[in-house]
This record gives sequence, structure tokens and C-alpha cells, in this order.
Amino acid sequence: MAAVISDLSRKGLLRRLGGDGIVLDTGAVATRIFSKVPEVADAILDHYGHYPLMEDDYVADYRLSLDRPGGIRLFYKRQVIGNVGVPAPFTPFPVDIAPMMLEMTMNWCVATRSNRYLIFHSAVLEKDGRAVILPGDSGQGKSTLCAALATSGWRLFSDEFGLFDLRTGMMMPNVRPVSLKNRSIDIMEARLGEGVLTRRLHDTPKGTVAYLPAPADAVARRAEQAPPGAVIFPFYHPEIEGAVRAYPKARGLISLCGGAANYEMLGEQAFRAMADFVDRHPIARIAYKSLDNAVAMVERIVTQGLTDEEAHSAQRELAG
Amino acid sequence: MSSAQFGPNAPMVAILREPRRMLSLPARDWEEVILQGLTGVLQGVLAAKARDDVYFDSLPRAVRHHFEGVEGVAAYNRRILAWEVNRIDMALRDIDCPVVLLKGAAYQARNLPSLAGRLASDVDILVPKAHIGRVEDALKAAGWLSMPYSEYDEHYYRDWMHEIPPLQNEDRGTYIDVHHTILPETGRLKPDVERLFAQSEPLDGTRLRTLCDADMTLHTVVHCFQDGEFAGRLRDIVDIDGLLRDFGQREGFWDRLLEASDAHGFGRPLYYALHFCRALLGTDIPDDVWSRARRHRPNVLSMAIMRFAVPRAVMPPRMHRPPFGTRLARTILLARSHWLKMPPLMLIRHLTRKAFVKRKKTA
Repeated sequence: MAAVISDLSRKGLLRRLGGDGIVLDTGAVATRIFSKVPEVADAILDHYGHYPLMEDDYVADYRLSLDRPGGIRLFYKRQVIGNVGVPAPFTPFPVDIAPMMLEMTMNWCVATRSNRYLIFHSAVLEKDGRAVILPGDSGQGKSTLCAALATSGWRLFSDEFGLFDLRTGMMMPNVRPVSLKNRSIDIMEARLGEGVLTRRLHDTPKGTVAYLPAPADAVARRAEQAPPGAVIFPFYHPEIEGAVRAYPKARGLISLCGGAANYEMLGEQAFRAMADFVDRHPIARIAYKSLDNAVAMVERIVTQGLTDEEAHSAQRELAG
Repeated sequence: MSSAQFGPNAPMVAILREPRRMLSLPARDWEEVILQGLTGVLQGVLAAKARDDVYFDSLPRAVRHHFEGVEGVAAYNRRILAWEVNRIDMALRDIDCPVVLLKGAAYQARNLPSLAGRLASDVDILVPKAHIGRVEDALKAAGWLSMPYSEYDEHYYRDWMHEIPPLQNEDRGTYIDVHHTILPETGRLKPDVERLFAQSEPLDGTRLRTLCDADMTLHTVVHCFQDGEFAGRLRDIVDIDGLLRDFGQREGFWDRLLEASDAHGFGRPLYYALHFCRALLGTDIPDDVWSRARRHRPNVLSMAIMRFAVPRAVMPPRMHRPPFGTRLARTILLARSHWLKMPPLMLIRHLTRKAFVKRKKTA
């Protein structure tokens, strides 16, 4: 069996991080990480221990270093900050929440440097060869739904970034842990049992955070692309059992493109690809209070499309 | 085994000189080169060279993906810059003095193949000093705003430098620098501004102009070797190299270059430019041009210092803190650039004031 990162001892991993660095191949991109901070090694083992140990001469897409900040901060508090070699908007975190600094720094690289792809701010998962794009701002339940799908038969592509390859029309996985915040940690722990999520990080800028490490199958198939089959805007609502509505195509196009970080940069090419996509595939909103309902609705929309009634609900809304 | 950090054998320099070397670049070096492309704003030029000279498909996956992304960025940059130039052309349509595009906007307007992919953000224009107030007013009327500068900064720009404080477009956030000459007025060298305008060439379909090939090259030369701070600015040398490669094909270019250099008094910076282009990027310079340019070489000590400092200082930053030699080289060249910019007494007053203002701000 091929070697994985957790085959290295904690000490061995730290030695690598302090020397040539360690490469995390997450599918679309690979990141070489440097650090001399032991808590970063722990975070890598927790989040990426089951990822393959890459050959030494593999060329990574990005380099990043997680360092102790210099100057007076070095003495009064143990902190860590991401360094990507160019100016970036990071502030030091206490080392206790180093895992979050690791993920945020990796996210920053993808968000600013993967311009080969149209980058959606969305979760993406795949089943039976079709990918579903779940766009959403934080707080609307995107990550929770993503974690629920990833643990009930869907293959995780990403919790944060939908990477659409304009050349091939395919979604590309970038398999990373799913970040769960505050109440959704309890919800997922109730579904999955103890010991599946990483330890809770308290008092982060996003409140309490815990991660669901990417399932083994998603990691193993991280290079397998899939065509997008539907776009679903999830919306958690404590009073709605489960409702599906078509999103008017034109508005859906605007929402989808408006949420793409580099849409303006990729310009006409991106517009044409997305216009073509919304013409051919369902684009819907779902509201739900039960995760099981949400999972079932996503499943049904992707495999069977919208019902006539749902499709017409968009027209009614426009008329009204 | 680590690669050279600077000079002709540094991976970044080697592949700029000879793009085919991309095919045998070790993995470790690629990652640093990609980063240096970003820190030195050379990524677009690298991507274009990779397409031109290399069997693209045999590059490592991460490198191909990076370059494909950069091509999107470069195309976007090109669109933005073309639109910006178009808006400036519109804004100045009623101004009846020559308006000359400089640097990146001019390279793009002239479609120079060796500088394909080059990224630029600001637009620089040159107008006669007597008209600068009207040009500024016309730009402000069309949506460019002056930034809030201190009285001292205003004075620094308007009385000592060769430009007014940058104007920013309120809708697009883009900047324009309006110059009335190409070097600071307080500096040692005094270019012949009238000659710049007289030799400038119209840009078809616009009311704008660009400098002629010789002056365009010399402007880039003095921007780097007279006015420049060097730190991480390998890109300036790449620009000069590209201009020499493209214009060098034209009939009579080298004679025009030396003639213009004499007219402006740019012999010394031109000598440095030719020396470092040749030493680092292997730029082809005809023998007779080289021997004529060499008449302007500095004394042995100055040249030794420049040969130590320039190749080190111009390297774009890498992931980790640069070695001592690089930091020393940057300091030497920063001091030099100040020295060349102002007479000693004025410089002391200026730097004292800057240090004082900075301390007040941090306090």
C-alpha cells in the first residue's frame, strides 16, 4: 500500500516541515507546507494524515509557511501566522487554533491563484458521475449540508470552492476537510457519533470550529472530475420542513456568476459557459429544517430534475 | 543541492534568457520561480515565453496550470489597460498639446512581441509642463480624483519630481501618473524634453502618441538605472531586454539609440543597461554599439559595486528571508537612487523630514 502522511512520526513530519516541506495533494492543486511549529504538524496529521505521501520531486502549485510571528509577539504569546510569499491579509492566531490558520492560508492560495478555473464560492459533491454545486454565504447551512452529503453516499469535492474548468466543462475536486461552525458541530456529532470530527477550536474569529476530515474515498478519487449536474442554493430555515423552488434562470445566472471570485477576469468565456449551463440544468433553492430532508431533496433534484410544479414556481414568483 | 540565488544561473534568470531550460528545471526550483514570478510581476512574461519556445505539454502539471491561469490574468490586464487608455484618450480629446503614453501602456499600444504577457496596472502619460494644469483639470472633470496627500508630499511631487501626485479613477480604481519629464527635476541628469515630444509618434485612431523606439528604450533604461530602487525589479531589466530585442530588428535602431542617448546625456545609464542585459539575459548587442557605449563606463570601483549589487538586488523575493548579500545590495542601491535623485543638502533635509514624519505617525 502506498505511504500516507501519518506513516511519518510526529517528529519525522516536523523534520520534513522544517526542511523540504511536505506536499498535500488535494486534487486540483497541491500545496507545499513549511513550518517549525509543532501544532501545525498536529493539524496536518489530524486533517491530512490519510493523504498520500508525495514524491520529493513533485512540483506543488503553492508554497506556504506557517510561522511564529516575529518581533515582540514572539515572547508574550505563542502564535502562528500564514506566509504565502506575497502580501496577504492574515493576522496571527494563537497556536491553539493553528488548524484554522492552516486551512485559511490554503484557502487564500486557491482563491487568489487558481485562475485556471472559474472559482465558485460553493460546496461541491458528486454522485453517479454528476456534481452538484451548493453556493452559499456562511451561515446558511452550506457546510452542514455538505458534511451531511459527504457522509451519506456523496463524494466530497470541496466545502469551500467549486473549481470549474472552462476548457473541459468539468468540476475539479479539491478535497479538504469540511469546516463546521458552532451549532452545526453538535448536529454533525449527533449524526456521526463521537470521534469523527477533529477537536473543537474555541474562540476563533468564526466562533467554535471543528473539521470533518475528508472521507477516504474522496481522497482516493481526488483527481476524478465530474460534469456539473445542478446548482442548488441551500437555505436552513427552522420552520420549513422541506421546500424546493426553481431559481429563475436569469437570476440564477447572476447569483452564480456574482459568487465566482474571478468571473470578471475570465470574462466572456465564463459568461458563455455559465449561460449554457443554466440553460441545460436545474437551478433551484431549497429550504429545510431537517438535514435528512435536505439530503433527499438534493438527491432527487440531481437525479430526476425539478417537478413541473417546482419549475413553474419560478415563473409565478416573477409574475407576482 | 541548491541553485544559484542570483546572477545568470539563478533559475528565474536562466529560463528568461533561455526558455527551453524550463524543460529541465528541477521541481524545487519551479516552485520558487512561480513565486518569484508573482513577487516580481513576471508571471505573464514567463507564461508567454513558455507558450512560444517550449513544448508546453511536457511541463509539470502545476506549472502548466499556473501558466494557464496567468494567461487569463494577462488577457484581463490587457483588456483593462486598453479600456483605460481609451478613457484617457476621451478625457483629453479637447486638450491641444501632445499626450504621450509611457511604459506599460505604450508597450501594449505598440504590440511588442517580446513583452507579450507583461502585466501593468497604472497608466503613465507625458505632457508638456506648461499644459500640465489643464491636463489635470480635464482628467478630474472626467472622473479622476487626486488622493489626499500632505502639503509636503504635494510639494515633493510638484516641485521636485517629474510628475504630479497620482490621480485615481473614482469608478474603476485605476491610477494615472501625469509626468512632464522622465526624470526628477532635482536629479543629476536633464533629459531634452522637447526632443522627446518632437520625436514622438502618433498612435493610430487616437489623439495619443508614444515615444519613438530609441526614446522609449531610454526611458525604461533611466527608469531602472538612474531613478530605480532595484529591489526585486528584475522586471525592468526584462523590459529593456525585450525592447532591445524587438527594436534591434529595425533598420537604424542602434544608431538612433546612441544618438538619442548622447542628446539626453544618458550614456552612463545606457552603459549599465546594456551591460546587465547582456550579462543576465544574454541580450544580443552589436559589437560596434557595445564599444561605443563602453566609453561611458564608470570607474573600476563603481563598476565593481554595481556588479556586486545589481544582480543580487533585482531578484524578486522568494519564500524565505533573503541572504545578507541581497539585503546589503538593496541598501546600497537604495542609497544610490536617493543620491542620484537630489543634491546632497536637499537629500538630507528630505530624509530627515521623512524619518520625522514617519516617527510621528507610528507614535
